[in-house]
Amino acid sequence: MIRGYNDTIVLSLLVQGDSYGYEISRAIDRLSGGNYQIKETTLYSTVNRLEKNGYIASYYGNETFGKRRTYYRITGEGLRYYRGKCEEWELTKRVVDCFTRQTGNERDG
Amino acid sequence: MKGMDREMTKIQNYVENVFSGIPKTKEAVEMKLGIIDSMEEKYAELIAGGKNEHEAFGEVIADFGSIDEIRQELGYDGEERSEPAAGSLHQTGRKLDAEFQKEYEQFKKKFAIAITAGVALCILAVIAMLVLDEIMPESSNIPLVAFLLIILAAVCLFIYFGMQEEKYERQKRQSIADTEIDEALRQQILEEISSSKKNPVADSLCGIIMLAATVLFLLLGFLKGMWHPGWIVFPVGGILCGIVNIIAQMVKKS
Repeated sequence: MIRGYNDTIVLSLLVQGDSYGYEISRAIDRLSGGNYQIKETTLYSTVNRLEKNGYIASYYGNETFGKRRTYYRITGEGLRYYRGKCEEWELTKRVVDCFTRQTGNERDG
Repeated sequence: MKGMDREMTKIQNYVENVFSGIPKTKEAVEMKLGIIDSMEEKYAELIAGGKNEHEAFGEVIADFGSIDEIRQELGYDGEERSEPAAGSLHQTGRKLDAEFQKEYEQFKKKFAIAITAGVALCILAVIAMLVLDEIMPESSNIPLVAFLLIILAAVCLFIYFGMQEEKYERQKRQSIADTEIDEALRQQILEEISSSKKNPVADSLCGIIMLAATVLFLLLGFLKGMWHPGWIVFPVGGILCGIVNIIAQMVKKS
């Protein structure tokens, strides 16, 4: 199920601001409360797909240590796609909730 | 440092190895290098966190994933990829942006040369006219004709390059406007995200508060006739609700 939403996950981080590979995977780990450690191949194939579809654009940042890092920025198309995916998930969640056992209304914290 | 370098290259070796069956297209190489960078950064962090070389290396390799994902993404598995061609037009749009910059740079040089040439031609026209006026017979039209022709050439230059410049300006302004629209959309989405994270506990508490306020109001009114000061329960209830929401947000942050 997550596989369909890797795009959405990565885009959600870029909505907050531009970022690069490792920072993105760290944020995913943190924001998911340690529940999702995205694999390298998953992350980079996702990023490749997003760039191919025009949802993100890449540029080189100026690193002081000489090695140039690739940063990613979300595009207008990407923002619209992200929003669409969020709505899709809301709908999916509501439908599946009708048919699955509820594990109580606990919220985090 | 020597030991660490060996492991760093080990990461590179590993990734290169796994990627060895994959044609070195630009896409594939970009992904490969990105993965190497990411793994090396993670490795460095683990080492800095106190892990020993082999532990760190093991962890980093475990998080590699599967090369099949890469193959699939590049289309070597014959499996469907999500949203393939729909956005390719837009991808060209992005690449064009960088190319547009380059083009514009080159154009600007030509533009400068053209304008200079135009001005030079104007001066030349005047000089030519004066010179020809001297050497041609009195009633000759040649000086004037020469003047007009050269001026004509200069004007053509100005008009042509002026129009090109206009075209570039327009494109630049369009892309700036687009960026502003994107930025506005992004702000909107950020707001949607933060407001959608509603806290249902806070909401039910709110409901209870307002219900209590209403009951209180009715009691004060019917039993004590205190409709007048009694109405204050509602604004107070509203404020309490606001406080509950703020507390809920603070709790969420922690």
